[in-house]
Amino acid sequence: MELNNDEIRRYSRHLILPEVGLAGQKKIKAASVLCIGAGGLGSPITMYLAAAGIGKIGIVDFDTVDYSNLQRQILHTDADVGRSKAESAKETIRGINPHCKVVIHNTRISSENALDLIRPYDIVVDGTDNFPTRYLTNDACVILKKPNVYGSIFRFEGQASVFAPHLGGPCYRCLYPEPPPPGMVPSCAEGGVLGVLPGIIGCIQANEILKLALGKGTPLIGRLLLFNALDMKFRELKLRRDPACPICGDHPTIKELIDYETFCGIVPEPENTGNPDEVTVQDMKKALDNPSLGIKVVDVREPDEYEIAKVAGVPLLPLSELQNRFTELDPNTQYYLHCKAGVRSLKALGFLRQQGFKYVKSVKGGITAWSDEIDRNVPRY
Amino acid sequence: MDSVIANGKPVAAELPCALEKFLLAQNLLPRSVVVEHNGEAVAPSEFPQRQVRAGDRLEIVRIVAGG
Repeated sequence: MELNNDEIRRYSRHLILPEVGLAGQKKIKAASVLCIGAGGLGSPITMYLAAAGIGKIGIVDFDTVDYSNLQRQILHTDADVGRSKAESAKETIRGINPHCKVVIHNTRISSENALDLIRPYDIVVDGTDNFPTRYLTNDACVILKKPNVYGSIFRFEGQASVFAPHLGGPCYRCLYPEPPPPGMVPSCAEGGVLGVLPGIIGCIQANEILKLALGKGTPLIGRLLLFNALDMKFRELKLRRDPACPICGDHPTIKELIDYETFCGIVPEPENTGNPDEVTVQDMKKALDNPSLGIKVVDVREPDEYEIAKVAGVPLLPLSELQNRFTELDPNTQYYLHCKAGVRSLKALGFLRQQGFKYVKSVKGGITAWSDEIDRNVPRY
Repeated sequence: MDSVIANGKPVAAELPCALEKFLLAQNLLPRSVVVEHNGEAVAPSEFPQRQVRAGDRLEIVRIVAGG
């Protein structure tokens, strides 16, 4: 692995660091990293790794760039909206450093392809946004003995660690043996995230990858680094390998990849047969246009969201207040509940059923579907 | 009621009790949190046996998945 004159100029600030030097820069060039997810975390990770001279970067992402990604996913530009994230990422990275080989996997990582995707790489970095993929990434890395550089974010807080049972540290399951029930932990799409937060956490992940490639410093193995952007504080928790861990413990029960959607309690939507508890935004429009039907529509989102976007004539009764305010509703009236995307309205429906409300339905797709299918003037957020 | 210091703040609880029980009493899912007890790492499989006493220091972090 040699560096040409262009590369020597490009990496000069590394080369003069005694901890890196020519030998270290060659190690960085020899390293290959697979980044799972080209989103908020994947952006700074891949951009800084490319700039730093990592020889080969693989990117797995099946998604396309959405307008709401641009607030934090700096790999993608306004002009990339609608394009494949993997393609867009490749273009950005090539623009930063043409010496970096970029391999894109425009596919959803799954139990079927994860081992083949990960096997050719030295280091894996977890930039995913959901529990099934995080458990899948962890298990595949444990099986293949690859370091898994972990980061995750929510609202103003982030976490980072390096999972490497083969190097004596814990894995993701040593911390979190089982996923929370679906809906218990909101996603960034539901709860929001500060735009710079993935920048900070992703840079920490990129830093750990460079240290692993160089074999220098103290890796974040056996430690969970926590960051709070509002307090601007870091803290650190000690971690340990759990001898009872189902995958890296003394008597592992998981020896091959499993079905992670089922493991995380995600039930696939039955095809063609809709949920009988749900109605469409077209049904909601009928109810609003025809008061004689006697169907009342209620918005169960939070007041801040109501301020951003609302459907005219629909009152607000936030899910967070429903427990104390459901008596404002009549158990014998027919209600259509809507939220942003249809998850919280189903929760509200479940609660109202327990209180004896018989005629409650949840609007599938929520105000987002309303904006897409009924009224484009209602902003999509 | 006795209390522990959880994430720097006093939290009242029926003490002593098992860490697992303490977490459940705080409405936390024991399999979805990382806990450091008096500066020591605690594996989730130890939560049911690990005793929490008045004045103990706990650092508790919840799982998040965003990226």
